[in-house]
Amino acid sequence: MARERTQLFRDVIDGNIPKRVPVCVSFSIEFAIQYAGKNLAEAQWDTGQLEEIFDQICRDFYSDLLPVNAFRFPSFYKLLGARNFVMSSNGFLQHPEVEGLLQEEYDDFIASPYNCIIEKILPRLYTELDTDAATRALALAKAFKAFHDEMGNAVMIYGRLNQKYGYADINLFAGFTEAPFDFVADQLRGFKGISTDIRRVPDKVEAAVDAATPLMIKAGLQPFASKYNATFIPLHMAPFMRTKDFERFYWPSFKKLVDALAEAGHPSYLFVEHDWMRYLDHLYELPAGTIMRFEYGDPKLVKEKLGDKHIISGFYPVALLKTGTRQQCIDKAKEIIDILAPGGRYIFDFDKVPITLDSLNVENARAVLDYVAANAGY
Amino acid sequence: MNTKYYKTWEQYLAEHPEIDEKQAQVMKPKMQGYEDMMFSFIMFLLM
Amino acid sequence: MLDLQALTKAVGDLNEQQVLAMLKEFVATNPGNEETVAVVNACQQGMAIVGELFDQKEYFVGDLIFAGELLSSAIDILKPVLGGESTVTVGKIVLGTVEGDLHDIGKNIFKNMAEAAGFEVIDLGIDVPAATFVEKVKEIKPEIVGMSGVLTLALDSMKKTVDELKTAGLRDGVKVIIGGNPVTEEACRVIGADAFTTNAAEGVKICQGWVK
Repeated sequence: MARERTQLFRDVIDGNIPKRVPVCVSFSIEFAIQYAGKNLAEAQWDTGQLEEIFDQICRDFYSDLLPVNAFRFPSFYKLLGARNFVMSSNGFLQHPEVEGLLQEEYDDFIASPYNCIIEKILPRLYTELDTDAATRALALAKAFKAFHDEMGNAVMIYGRLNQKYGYADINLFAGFTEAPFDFVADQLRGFKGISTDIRRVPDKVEAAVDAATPLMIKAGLQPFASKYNATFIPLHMAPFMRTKDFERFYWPSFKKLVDALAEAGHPSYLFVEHDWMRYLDHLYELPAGTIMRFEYGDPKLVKEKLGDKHIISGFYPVALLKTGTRQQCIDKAKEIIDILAPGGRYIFDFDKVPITLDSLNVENARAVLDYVAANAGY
Repeated sequence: MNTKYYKTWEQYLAEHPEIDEKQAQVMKPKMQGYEDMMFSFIMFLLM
Repeated sequence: MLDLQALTKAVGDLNEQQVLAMLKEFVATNPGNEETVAVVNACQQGMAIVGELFDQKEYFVGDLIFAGELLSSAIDILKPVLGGESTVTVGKIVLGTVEGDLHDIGKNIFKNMAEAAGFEVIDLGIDVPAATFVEKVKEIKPEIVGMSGVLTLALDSMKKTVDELKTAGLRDGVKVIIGGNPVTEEACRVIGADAFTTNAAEGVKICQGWVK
């Protein structure tokens, strides 16, 4: 089973036509906890419960790759007094708008991004690091331990579930990084900050993004090169910018990042969030075999423009799984597969990760996944 | 990387001439490994 | 006298340097109330152009955010010459991101644009419980209540808020608009809101229609 499934993905990555369209869907940790009928806050703290919780997703939803992938846990964020990841009253870990870097600190960041991160940005976003030196050292030590405990626990669980369910032996989350502009935008300057900066201090934004690039490349490197293990890069800001701003501030450093990872032997797995239809020609320029999961847009146009060079995924609207009939949901899967599957280089996935249990009708989701697994043969 | 908070093994070794070659061989993967783990953790906190 | 059309155009172009220079020059002439109101009006017309360019996909969300910043710098410059009574409010909006949701970008864009259109906006912030909405509606007596959210679970909180407004006997006295990623026509109906939008500029237009 695992061997056959692994072959599906290897064929897609190698540019061969697989036996069937591989299915790679994933559900959020919140979805999984709600599905198992557990308490959100409790299960995210008491992570010993997660194996049983994730197991129910694996049991009930067809996928050729492990359908759960959690990597943010409240323990280490809380130990650090995080302001950027906060659990709200109902147990959702959310990301409020923050400003880790002040506009007047651009020059410090440009001179040495990593010094600036350690000395200024982290203490601003993590209150326990905004303390005296000894308290700060202890806080970081506790959080580092918690981080590795949680990740270790998660990796063990994933390993056992991979074994039990015979999932494919490839990893699309073997590394994790961000586009340099997104890194500067998301937690350093914030959406509002960066949107004003690109008009008020454009040269500094450009220099800061360039300065961040080597760090983002290093963050995205995996211990071993393999064309079957990808570095995950969720993309964020580009659809909210004018094309000419994108071309100046976003694209060059992002391209450099993906190129550098490819040179080091790591393909990139992009979550192409929101509407990137303006940027398809840019995406085409990325190294061949980049895996792109689309949230939005015209699958036909994407297949036509990118299908001979890259691997396409996504597009299946989770929203339909909530509102559509079973037949409508299956028809939609058929429609998308008919467009994207010809010639290979396609992995079935939803347009976005279902975040809450009520974001879809469970029966519809199962019907669609079973349909694809049974009928999307070449 | 132009920072005092991250050292490559070569930088570390240059600051510690007392480490002999044999010991250096076994130290390198561990020391570099933890340096990189901390770097990854710090970056993860901002992503 | 300041060239009002040029000012409107500069605001529409989001040409901050030019806008601020024009306004500083204008304020230095110690203008009267009527003139100042005309200038504010020209700025508001510029913001309407920004909204149109957004609809035409010339501008994107980042540009709307900047437009809000530009407008608040403009108002700061004009403040000293703006007489108290000259700022005509077209209506009051009690606004917040509903309980359980901490996202505020969409809400803030809407707030900026609504203020630019002459509304007085009472911003309750994020993760706002239904009871706080009710309390503020009682106190402020706004024409409009705006609820924002990004998570699908925000829809439940929106419904709860509308239900509590009903219980408190306040629902009929206000128009309710909901905004954000998850809102749809169906959600709007279930929640019992009067309007929904995923587009801040459109939301402001709906509100303007209500207070006319």
